[in-house]
Amino acid sequence: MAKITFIEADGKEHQVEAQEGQSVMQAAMDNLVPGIVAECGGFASCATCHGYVDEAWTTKLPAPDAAEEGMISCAYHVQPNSRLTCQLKVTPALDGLVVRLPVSQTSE
Amino acid sequence: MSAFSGQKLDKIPAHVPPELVYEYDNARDPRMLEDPHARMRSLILEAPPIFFSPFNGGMWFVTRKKAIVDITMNPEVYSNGFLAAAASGEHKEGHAGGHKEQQGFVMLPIATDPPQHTAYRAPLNQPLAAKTLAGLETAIRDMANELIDKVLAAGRCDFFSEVAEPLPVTLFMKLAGMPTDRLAEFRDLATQATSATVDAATREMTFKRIAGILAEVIKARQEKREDDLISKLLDANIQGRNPTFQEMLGYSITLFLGGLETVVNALSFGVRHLAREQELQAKLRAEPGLIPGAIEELLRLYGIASTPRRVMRDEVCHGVQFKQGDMVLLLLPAANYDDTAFPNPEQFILGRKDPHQTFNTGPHRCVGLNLARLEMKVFYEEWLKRVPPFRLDPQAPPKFMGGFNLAITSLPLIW
Repeated sequence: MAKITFIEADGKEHQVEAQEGQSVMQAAMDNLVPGIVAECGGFASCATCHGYVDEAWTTKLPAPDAAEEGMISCAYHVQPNSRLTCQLKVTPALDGLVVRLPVSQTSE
Repeated sequence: MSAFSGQKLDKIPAHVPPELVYEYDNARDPRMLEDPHARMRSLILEAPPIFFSPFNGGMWFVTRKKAIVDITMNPEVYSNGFLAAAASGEHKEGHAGGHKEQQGFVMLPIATDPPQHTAYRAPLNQPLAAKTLAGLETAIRDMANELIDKVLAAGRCDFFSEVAEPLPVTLFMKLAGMPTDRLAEFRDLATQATSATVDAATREMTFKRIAGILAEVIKARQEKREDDLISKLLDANIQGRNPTFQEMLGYSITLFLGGLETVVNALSFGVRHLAREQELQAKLRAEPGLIPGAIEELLRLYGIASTPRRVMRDEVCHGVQFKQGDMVLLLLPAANYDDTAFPNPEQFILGRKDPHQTFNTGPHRCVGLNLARLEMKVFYEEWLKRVPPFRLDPQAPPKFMGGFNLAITSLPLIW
């Protein structure tokens, strides 16, 4: 178990209990966190589970692979700390992770 | 079960309970041919949520949104791999696995499952992303206006052949890098390839002809790159290497079928709806800002493609026992009439919360959806701005076709 905090663009916080082994995206979906769409279901094929990983955590996560990087380039509102949350696997080391969500998963 | 044979089974398989049998012929059902989407709604009302039909070689049909999403999100159990065999003209289930390369291509990325699929899909994502396509808007607007110029003065047209076919097909062929002067021939081949009524030999020949045409295009781009999708794919990086010639053929065939059959029909069904709803036409003319939302609702009401899966192991799905090797057809256009997700599903209602299933969900969610949405937005903006209130020609009602796609074959309009 790891506690993850999702922060919507308007500042609203959602703290969820994530299961080890599931993706950060799935933890958000299981807890109905608004702002994550996850159209493709977690296969790095749609860029609608885009989030920003707080700097304290970027070094604790494996770097994005080629598929994730390519897909991030298709996302909107991209920042240097952009990740696809479907590609982040929950481990005990991620207890306390903070993920900020973009203003939208599309161009709107 | 030989899913693409089009034959009706003599005997229902032993593991199918009689109460789950419902006779529905995906290609020839008379009520579907009369009004395809009204038939989708009737399947929700009349048939079990997951039913087995002996037609089309015998297969399961899934009509509810939740079950469809669960299946598409679980590619380990519900595989697309058999499409490789279907595309190569191999129809006997028992031989499918071993003959994938028989005709020399595997439809990419659609005939693969994750994680292989993720690697094959990656090169298509960027060229077809909304951001990349935004630059095409002016060209699409020009093309739409050229087509409107041709039909406007006459006060009538066959919307299907004069607008819905040339616009997306020409645009797509340009974008992909396929010759635009062979539009009619290509459309004919694409229609044959996705038809559920053609026999195995015809289907095989159709795929061979398509492959032959595409092989020429790929060879030409191997010699000299252009600014098109086929050129980009030639240089794509698939886990550290470029695609082989066979893989290029596999990509091109998927693009060919995806690009030539879908938007054509989505546009036609959408315009048919507007032709019958003068108030809605007026509302969209007065407030073009409503068009993107209207397009989503039209896409919900008029889904086109259905997508098959093969069951890889015995599995219980929403209370129904599937056996390994069973074929399942996910009726995406029916899921859009599932009351659970879409209250009063027959009504056009702007601003629905639940996303429609027309583009599917999961890893195989339509890769061209951004292109489809952009084409439709630009088309409706120009058409509603320039063409006076239009309606169906009462002398010539539209004609429909079934198969893997719900399709229109003619749509005479007057204004």
